[in-house]
Amino acid sequence: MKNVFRLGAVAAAFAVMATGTTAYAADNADATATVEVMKPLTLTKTADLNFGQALVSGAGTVAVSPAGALTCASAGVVCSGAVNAAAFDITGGTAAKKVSVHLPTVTNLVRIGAAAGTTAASDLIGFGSLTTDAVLNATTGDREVTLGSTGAGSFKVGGTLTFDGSEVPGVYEATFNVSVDYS
Amino acid sequence: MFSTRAFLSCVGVVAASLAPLTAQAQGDLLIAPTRIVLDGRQGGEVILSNIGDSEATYRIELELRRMDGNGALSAVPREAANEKETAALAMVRYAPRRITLPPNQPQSVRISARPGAELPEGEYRVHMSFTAIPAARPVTQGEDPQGIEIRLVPIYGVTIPVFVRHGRLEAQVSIANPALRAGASGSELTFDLIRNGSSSTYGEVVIRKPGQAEPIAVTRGVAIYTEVASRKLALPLSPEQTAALRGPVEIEYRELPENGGRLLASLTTTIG
Repeated sequence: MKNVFRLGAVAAAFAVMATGTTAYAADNADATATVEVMKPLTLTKTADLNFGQALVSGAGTVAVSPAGALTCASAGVVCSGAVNAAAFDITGGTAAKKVSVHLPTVTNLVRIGAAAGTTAASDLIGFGSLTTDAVLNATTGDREVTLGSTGAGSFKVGGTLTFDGSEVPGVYEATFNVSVDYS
Repeated sequence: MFSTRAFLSCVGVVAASLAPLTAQAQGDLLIAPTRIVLDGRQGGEVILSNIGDSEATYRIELELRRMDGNGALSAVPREAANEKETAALAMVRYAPRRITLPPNQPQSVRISARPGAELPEGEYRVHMSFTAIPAARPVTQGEDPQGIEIRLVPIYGVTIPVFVRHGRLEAQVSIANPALRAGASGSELTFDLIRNGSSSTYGEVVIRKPGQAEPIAVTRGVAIYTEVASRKLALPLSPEQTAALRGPVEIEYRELPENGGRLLASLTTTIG
């Protein structure tokens, strides 16, 4: 049995996290006014993690590196099509600020609509390792992006899918955390 | 045997069928202000606004962070909290803890702190986290999905520090070890900010040539928390800024203008 899987776009569209734009204005006859404007910080997804198409006839893995390189060497999987690593842009932050990127510890993508807590192989796609080009902080174990002098930065995320060949069609989902700590 | 050759529809079709459920920018948030200082008498509030284009639910929690010598914050699990952190968690009250907001709708979160009478003087701190909760998984009933779509949902959030200042607190800061070095993306000016006393400090670092009003570089939002006696700061510089640094320069650490602009520390030095 052969299934042609067309693996496509990822990361449910999302974008922009912004923090801080406040404006206080006081206005009276003497025209005294104060306005405090804080730079909004935005986090934007600029590319989806796309594994291209895979012809799955058995167990195997498909991996996309943060640099966008495809690894598809398993006998049971034949790959084609364009692949992409997910990319995120951070803008408007504080220069030289470090932003933590937390990657998930989940090991499976779960088919939406499957019973809660399912362990059926047909409902799970192994999601071995999310990888990123964000720098590892050896002290905290977190991945970090250091914003440049303009308060901007970016990072990419790749990953590995592991098929056992029994997956049924559907939407397979997993989550990962991206958080920004203000100090 | 019947050979199944399931031709999986293009993702566009699958995605399109989910479009109403995966609206763009779900959970985007705006928070102001990005730090709260309480003195134990007056409360404070944070405005949370949904700047996405669909309804979103946010969870608001108190977490712990510690600063390291590079100014980076790392998460501390509650089990590992020290005495001060446990006291901070116990004294900070806030409501609500969960907010569902339609697009462009702001709501305030009220925060207060009640330091007990026995509490030693000091600065206590927790970090309030705002996390967008991903929308419930759409169950595609009555549909026969033809393809496999992989969806990685980012959960993104922001934490802001909440300080409780109890008693008379003060801090002194000095600047040491300025150096120009090659960083990951060009030159960096690095130096240490050394803090003494019972209070944290927060402000901006201004680099300028002595006597010149126009600064070469300004970095806002530089904090030194009470758990660190000193932290390193590395300012990435453009080639023009690097060239402008040659000769004597003045490094200033000041409170932000909106907080009074008081000079916290300054150093005049010569960068090679």
